[in-house]
Amino acid sequence: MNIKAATRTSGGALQPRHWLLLGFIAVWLVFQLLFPLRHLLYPGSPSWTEEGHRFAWQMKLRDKKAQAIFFVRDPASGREWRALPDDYLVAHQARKVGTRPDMILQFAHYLAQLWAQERDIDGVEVRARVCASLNGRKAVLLIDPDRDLARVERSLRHADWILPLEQPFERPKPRTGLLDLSC
Amino acid sequence: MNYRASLRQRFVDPLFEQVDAASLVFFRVAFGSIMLVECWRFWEHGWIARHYIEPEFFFKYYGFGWVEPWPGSGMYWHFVLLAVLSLLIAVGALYRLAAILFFFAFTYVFLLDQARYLNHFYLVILIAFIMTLVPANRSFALDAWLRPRLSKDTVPAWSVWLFRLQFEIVYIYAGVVKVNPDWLRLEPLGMWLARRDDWPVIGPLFNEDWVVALAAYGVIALHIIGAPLLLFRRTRGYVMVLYFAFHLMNHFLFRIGIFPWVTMAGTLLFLEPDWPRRALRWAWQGAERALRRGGATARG
Repeated sequence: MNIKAATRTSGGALQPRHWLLLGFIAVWLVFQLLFPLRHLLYPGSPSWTEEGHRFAWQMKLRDKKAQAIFFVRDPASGREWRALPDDYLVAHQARKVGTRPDMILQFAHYLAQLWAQERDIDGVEVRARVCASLNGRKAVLLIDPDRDLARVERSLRHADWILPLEQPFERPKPRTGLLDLSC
Repeated sequence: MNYRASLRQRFVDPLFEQVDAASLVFFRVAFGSIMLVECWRFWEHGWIARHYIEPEFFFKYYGFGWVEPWPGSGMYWHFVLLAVLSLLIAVGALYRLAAILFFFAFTYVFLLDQARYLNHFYLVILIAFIMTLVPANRSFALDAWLRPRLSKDTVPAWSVWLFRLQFEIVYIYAGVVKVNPDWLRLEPLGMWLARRDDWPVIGPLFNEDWVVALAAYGVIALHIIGAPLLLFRRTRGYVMVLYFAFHLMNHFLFRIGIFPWVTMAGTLLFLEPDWPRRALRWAWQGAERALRRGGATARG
């Protein structure tokens, strides 16, 4: 086989560009090994908090449904508006926003910006009541409903406004999953 | 011989040995073709407008708030560009440039909306990046045909190994993350299978706990034990059959887009690098035999 002959190493010394390539491959692989472990730096399950969930091959681990209502408040007048994701987002976004805390935060900031621009309100406050069910558990509050999200800055640190999942696991009834998302 | 030199001989030198280019070339053609089909699917299903034009608000990745969709019909043109680049990759024309542009153009689309995050698109980005590094246009490629100087039947072994190790990491993590309390108690897989109990013949089995348990624990074993066994010649064949069954099952059960096809194409890289040649020769000989037999029957 002529191919067999071609697979023999030339036996020559490796040149600097070879070592550079090897170094790069090593860095790439170490990054690929470490990056998916980010979730270990955060408390709680990544299926619930979503912290460190992305870019980590966390696949097919969560059946998560949520019902989210946002409350926008003018601190000066005390007037409050209810805002539903469906009215501001397209269907596939609205379906997800309630289950992903970092998206809840981004959406809250968006609402704050809308109210500030269109109604000229200073210091808009945004709160959200989010009931979420993970893997067939009874729906419970995902985030602190009293926290003014407009004042929360986006960061990679643990979000202390995410409530820990204390609802115990139970096999869902019916087997196809829970439909009642009230909490 | 000292320890360092022997380490180098064992692990470093082999990476620069030349191996048959066929398996890498097959993967290049498969990857380019799958991405071409994916671009067409986005167009056909109206996803370009629904995902990137209709929303008034986009969820940003941390640090990438500046990535915005093109105005007007720009997103359509962007997908036309992606399709052209996929085709160039598949046929190996202007390969290096096409791979680099594809990497950036695809990553751009990925970064537009966090609500569209998909693990398999992240995998596509990683593959596209590795594609920019490897000389996958040396054979069975327009580049090699137009510039015979480039034409070569071999590639350095690291270009196959980099893909293998990348897929090992994905597979092993896919198994490790499933060692978690919910998965070990058969959820959410149990719910998902129960929703498909109207499947012909095997549907009723999806309501049986032992079937769900077999699937849930089997997947962990496949990824954590099976994936490393892909690296050994003696075991790789069996594991590969299991993986193909697993990916096809996923495709029909969960309709997860291109993921099963990308990973199946990737898994083939674990075979000896000359496997496409052997497969072709085998198919050719089979066809010849059949023809001869057909001819004999016709004469008889």
